[in-house]
Amino acid sequence: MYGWIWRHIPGHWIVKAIWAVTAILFVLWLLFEHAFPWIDPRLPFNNVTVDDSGASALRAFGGGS
Amino acid sequence: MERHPSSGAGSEPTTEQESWFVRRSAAGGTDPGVRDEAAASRMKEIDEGSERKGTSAADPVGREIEDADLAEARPSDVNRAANNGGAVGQETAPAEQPATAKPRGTAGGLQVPPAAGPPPLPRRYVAPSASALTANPGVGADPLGLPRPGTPKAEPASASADRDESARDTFEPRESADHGSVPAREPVGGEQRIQDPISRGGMVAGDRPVRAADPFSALDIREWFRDTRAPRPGADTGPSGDAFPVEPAEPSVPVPPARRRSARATLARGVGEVLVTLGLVILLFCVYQLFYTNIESNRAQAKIKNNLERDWKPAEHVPDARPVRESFSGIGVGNAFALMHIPRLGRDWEKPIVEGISLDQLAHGLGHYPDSAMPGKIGNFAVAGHRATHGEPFRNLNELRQGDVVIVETESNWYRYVIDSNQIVDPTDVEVVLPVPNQPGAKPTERLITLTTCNPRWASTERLIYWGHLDSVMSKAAGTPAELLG
Repeated sequence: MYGWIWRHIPGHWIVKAIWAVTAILFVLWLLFEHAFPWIDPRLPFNNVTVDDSGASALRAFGGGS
Repeated sequence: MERHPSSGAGSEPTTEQESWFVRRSAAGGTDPGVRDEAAASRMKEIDEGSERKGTSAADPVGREIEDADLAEARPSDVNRAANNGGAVGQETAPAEQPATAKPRGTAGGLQVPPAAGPPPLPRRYVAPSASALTANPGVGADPLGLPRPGTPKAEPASASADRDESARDTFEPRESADHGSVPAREPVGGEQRIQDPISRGGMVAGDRPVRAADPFSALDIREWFRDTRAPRPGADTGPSGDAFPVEPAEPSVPVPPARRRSARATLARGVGEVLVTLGLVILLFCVYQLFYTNIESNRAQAKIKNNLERDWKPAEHVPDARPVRESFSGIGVGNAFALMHIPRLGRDWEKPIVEGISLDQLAHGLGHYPDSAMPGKIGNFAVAGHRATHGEPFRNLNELRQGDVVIVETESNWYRYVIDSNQIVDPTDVEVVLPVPNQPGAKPTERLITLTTCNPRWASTERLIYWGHLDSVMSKAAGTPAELLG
């Protein structure tokens, strides 16, 4: 896969390296700014509240301010 | 001209010999005027001898003897005489040479009038090494056991082997034409194939330097953008045969079994690369969770704190100022409206409190349960915070003890809460944030605070809950709580 990509980048190896680094940075940007933030709330690591239904539970129990 | 009856080589000397001569005369400074008489007479002897023997174009033996004799002569003579197979001397000694070399059978160049000027120089220097030696059939196997006539020439031949080779690379057709122009002296093709590598110091195809690996080619910026997309390794034609123009390049023979194996290896490698890539992505996600979210969150919190401090007008100091009654109206979800200080977690521990408890808000600090009470009001002021990742403001919340102080700073007041108790509950125990915790429907009479976070720290299977009550309210105009001055 990577060899195939490398062979299909035109130019001298320096140009190839520049392209490759650019592509890697673009992939990292995609992951850190879009893919990971999208997947983050779908994983059960970061739930710190007593449920998202907690607020509505307050209403259901007639509480709240 | 007798030697080259059927070719134009007589009137137009071969490129190799001509340039060879030019080079030698320039380097050695062989001035035809100072050529000694002994050499001249010897030349005459040789020439006469060759004539006497009736040297003909197809007589290699005659040339053999002639060259052998020359090899014994002094180097300067040899340099000159070794070229007498072609265009020797007609440029260097136009006046003297005809007298001494009148009958020379090999001096075909004499036919060219000197006024014709120097013959066209080759575009690239081509050393005589291969052609001059191989053109002499007797060189490889010396039947008479005489000193090898090519020996004096061996130095330039080996020294210029590379250039000779590169010249062949570039001007292969022309080289071939030159070879073809001396048919009388060209040996059988097979013979030349054998001699050629030997005469170049035993260089064989594998020894040929790979010019593509030249690191200095990178200095030519056009070279950077040249399309170097190489054919697949299987389609490689091997070393191109241009190293030896007499030996045409053999097309590589495809090996089907190897190809099949390489296809399987390619598939396996592709799967492996995909798996490694997935592993790297998962590792990157860990990096994102453990570090990047904290960086992002801290940056956002710093910005929020700056905005709050900019919006909050500094109160002028009034020692006996009474707390201001705040309404907290019109605070939308996502807006920060307070700062929380917990001295137990650090003297500088200061986190913004944002309306809302979704992950978006929690990434910007602490989240206020929207339906719970506001600071200082009767009811339950409930706040959630991350214990890990996304700034992890409640990372060390478990260090809180009974009696610890939690101070909520708003635009006008300090609300000083004191911790009473804690409990670990299930994530679904929403009663803990009720106005009267764990008593649904009860009418609140106290001003409470509730802090919630996850437990254990790296999991979300439970919730860690702290409760406290409002101890005092202090106007910001009256000063700063003692706990924060420490």
